[in-house]
Amino acid sequence: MVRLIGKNKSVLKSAGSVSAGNKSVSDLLTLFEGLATAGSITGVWNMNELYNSVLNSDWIDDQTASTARAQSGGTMTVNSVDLQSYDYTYIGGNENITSFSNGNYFTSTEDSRSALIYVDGDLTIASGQTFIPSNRKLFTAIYVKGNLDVDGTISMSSRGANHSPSGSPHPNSRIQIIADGTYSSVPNPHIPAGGGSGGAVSTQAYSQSDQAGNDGAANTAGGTGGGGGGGAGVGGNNNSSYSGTCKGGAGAQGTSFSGGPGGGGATDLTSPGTLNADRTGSNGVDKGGAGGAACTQPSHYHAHGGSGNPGGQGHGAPGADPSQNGNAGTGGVLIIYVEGNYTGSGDVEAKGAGGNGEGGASGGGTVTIFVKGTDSGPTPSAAGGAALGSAIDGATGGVGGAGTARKLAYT
Amino acid sequence: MATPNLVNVTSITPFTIAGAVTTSNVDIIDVAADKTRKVNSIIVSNVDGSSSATVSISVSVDNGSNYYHLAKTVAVPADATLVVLDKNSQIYLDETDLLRIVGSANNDLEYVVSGEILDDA
Repeated sequence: MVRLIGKNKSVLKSAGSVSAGNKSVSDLLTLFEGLATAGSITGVWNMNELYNSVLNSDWIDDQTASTARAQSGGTMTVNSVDLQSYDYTYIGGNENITSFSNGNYFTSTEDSRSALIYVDGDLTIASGQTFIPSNRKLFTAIYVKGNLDVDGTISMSSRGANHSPSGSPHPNSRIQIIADGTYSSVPNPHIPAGGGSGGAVSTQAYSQSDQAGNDGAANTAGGTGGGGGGGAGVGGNNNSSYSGTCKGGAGAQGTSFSGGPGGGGATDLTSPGTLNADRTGSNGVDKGGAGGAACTQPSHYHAHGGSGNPGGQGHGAPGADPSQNGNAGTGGVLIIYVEGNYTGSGDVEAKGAGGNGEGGASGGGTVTIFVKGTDSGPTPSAAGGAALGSAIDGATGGVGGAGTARKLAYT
Repeated sequence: MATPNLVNVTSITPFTIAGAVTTSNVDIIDVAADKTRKVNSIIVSNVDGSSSATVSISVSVDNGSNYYHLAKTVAVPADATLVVLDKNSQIYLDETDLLRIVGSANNDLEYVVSGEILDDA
């Protein structure tokens, strides 16, 4: 048997490495697969040496790269589509999250970057823990080399990016998340550039005819949901002699990086019967922008802004009223790859933000979980925001459209 | 047919067998009647070049009804060699006994098994 004379056999072991920087790849999974390189062990080993190595967590599966917490990676071009910059976290072993800390996985950069998390081992989210970035991201993608157990929550709810001119401008962009093919009967799964349509401008409300906001459209083809439209209220339960009239704003379409923001609500009790601009709610801002502002002159009432990034400005009869603002957030984009088994009884979600009063809710995000091993883990959800109530009579804002939520097998 | 008496063997001949490990269980030694095989070494090499693979090696002393492991899903790194058994832990296999091997990937691993055949026929 070959023996090494006068040399410690540890030299035959080499740790893995991480290679961040600017990336141009065919799909997101390929990017992950090339992000970290496994270490190696060469030479001849007997069972006693193997036993000691395993005992000391120093055999082949332990030859990972050193853990590197959240940091800037580089730029990312996927299938010839510019997806801006990314941050990454590499964890060289098993990770059991019993006390989530944002800085361990995410930078504080908002809107302009995606977050990639590579776990070179098993990932466990303990019950009661929520794995969610504190700041909005273009998308979050998690690659688990081992098993993923979710007993808590992995979330991109209300973390869709504002990539409108008021945020970090970037066009809607198709995200190639895996090589083309059919996965669990879904052909060529990807995140489309455009998601569900926003709820349309409401029907004009007048006299006692309050108008609910129109709902955002769902997307089941990988995309996010559209924002709900704003409602229009003229006091449907009041005296019919009042001549108010108004109109709620439209919700915005969902995008590859965000559910659609909701439209602003509108209320009016006693205006002269003509629809003025100040009795009209604003539209939700496209590309994950702000929720639509409420109409600026809600006579005798207040009106709520739509939900978005940030929530649309609310107004009372005397002027701007922050307490009537829409809620902050749109559904975000979440992609997970599990090389091992997927288990747990928790939640994986990317929901939109609920709508206040007449304000439209924001659209749901999109979640795709690829599982290579066995799958008994939580079914994901990308529900649109609900209508949270407190609207004038029947002028409730529209709900957000649901985005795509799916589990797909891959090999 | 009986277990050979090592005092009365008529011949002792060396043997070496080798081959590729597959993902199917294969009995690489099946001891013939009136024979005993003394296994001196079992060496498994990973020839894949990039991927680790696991190997399981087991024996049966009841003609295949039950198998018991010498090694079970032990990872052999790429380009590394594992000496599963050497002269410090050599074993005898009696007539009808079996030695079985299986891997996690086809043809990533190769085995070499060497020892002696003791015959009292």
